[in-house]
Amino acid sequence: MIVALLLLLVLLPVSLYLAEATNPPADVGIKTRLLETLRRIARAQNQKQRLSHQCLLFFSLVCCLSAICIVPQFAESLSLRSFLLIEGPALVGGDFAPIVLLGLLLLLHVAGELCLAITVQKQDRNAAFCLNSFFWLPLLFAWTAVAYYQPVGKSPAASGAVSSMWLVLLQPLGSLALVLSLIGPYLLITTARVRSENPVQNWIRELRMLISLLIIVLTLVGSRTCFSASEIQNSPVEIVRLVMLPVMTLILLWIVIRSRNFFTARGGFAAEAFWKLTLWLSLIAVTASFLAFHVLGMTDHLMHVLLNFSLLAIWAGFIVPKYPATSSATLQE
Amino acid sequence: MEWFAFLIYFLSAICGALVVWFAIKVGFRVSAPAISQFPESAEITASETEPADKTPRLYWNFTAALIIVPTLLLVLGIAVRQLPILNPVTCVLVGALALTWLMSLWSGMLSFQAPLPAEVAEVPPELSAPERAESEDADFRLAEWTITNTKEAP
Repeated sequence: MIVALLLLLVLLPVSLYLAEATNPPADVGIKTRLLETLRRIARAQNQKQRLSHQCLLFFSLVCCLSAICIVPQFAESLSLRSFLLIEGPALVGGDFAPIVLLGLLLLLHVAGELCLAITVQKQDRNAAFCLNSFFWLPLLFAWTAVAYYQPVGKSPAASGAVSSMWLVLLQPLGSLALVLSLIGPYLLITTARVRSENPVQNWIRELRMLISLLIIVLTLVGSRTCFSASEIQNSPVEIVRLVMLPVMTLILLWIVIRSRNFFTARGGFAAEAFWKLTLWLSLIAVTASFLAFHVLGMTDHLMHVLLNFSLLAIWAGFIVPKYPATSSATLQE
Repeated sequence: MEWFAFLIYFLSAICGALVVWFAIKVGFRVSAPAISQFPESAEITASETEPADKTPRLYWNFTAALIIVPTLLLVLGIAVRQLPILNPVTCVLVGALALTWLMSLWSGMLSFQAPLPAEVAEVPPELSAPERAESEDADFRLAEWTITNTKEAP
């Protein structure tokens, strides 16, 4: 609970700072700027609105806050001694805790995003995409593909292969699909040419982006996989992994902000083609996970890497070239 | 692990999601007539012959909601991932995977269409020189995301 409060104390100022980054006020200090942002948000919330929109915004914020409460438990369930420490209901604290908690976090993400999209669907054309399974279907598939590699039970699921590789290397297809489907809707809405300027919605969106970055880093870099040996503790690999967590979060945040600026300068991107790209990727990822474990019965983690990277190459060769990239050429002319 | 309890939790999650979906469809129909009247999959494939249709073509949520069920079956299959292929449980999972692929292919979710020329015609505002250099830099880093032809463009 203390960790969740600390997380909240870190995430709130950062999200407030990011929410006002698009229209910066005059050169003032950070503290004045944050207070000004808070005042703007409070003023916008007090303005006359429909009651249903206010309720939806509140529910979206509640989804964010409960996700922040769950994130420490998720991190704990992914750590090495999880099966001794976690107390809770059998489902959340048992063998399947990483899978269930990850699914719960993604469910909260989807619920919050849908509520936010309903409130802006009149002003924003792109928000209608989010209401039409634009992002939660790839998210579901990516969760399924990644969940196969989460640690289940006390012993390594695939006996015979022991590896402490990151999930992002073991299952690059599912990892890429998870990243794209978590960050894609945020980029889609924030980089649109015509967007609503409600500070409350901007702030909630930034907060959710930060939480999804945490989910990505915890799942793909910080977690054990089913190939990890459960008896190794305090090895150098674990220490390096712990150090990498904040570094990777900052790098991902930098990449997201840079790509947001890039797409804003380019004037948005083709949402529907992007959705189909992600859907192809996530379906291929599910099939790869299924093939690897059920049909081929692979216990060698390097064979997983090989299968995934070859499928990734096939995806990049056949599917990605169909993405319309003409607006960049228009920009150059 | 109580698999029966897990199944009950998942089924109640599905029912809850369907109830929320239905409530959104019904409760917000007045404010969003454009979204509740999107065509079904059959109409989508029928209208693919007319490229002049400029409205964003989206997919009816019910197909996506149906796809959830075999996908959750695949998630349940994680517990039995060491069974042989000829086990009936694995056969059911293979069927679920095939059903997912068939449903998404048949409803036209996975088929690309040619980009509409009207979307390309809108020229974004002109950039200054440092911004353009910055965008090229970001483009280089994002090469995995988007295949762009920034370098080849004259």
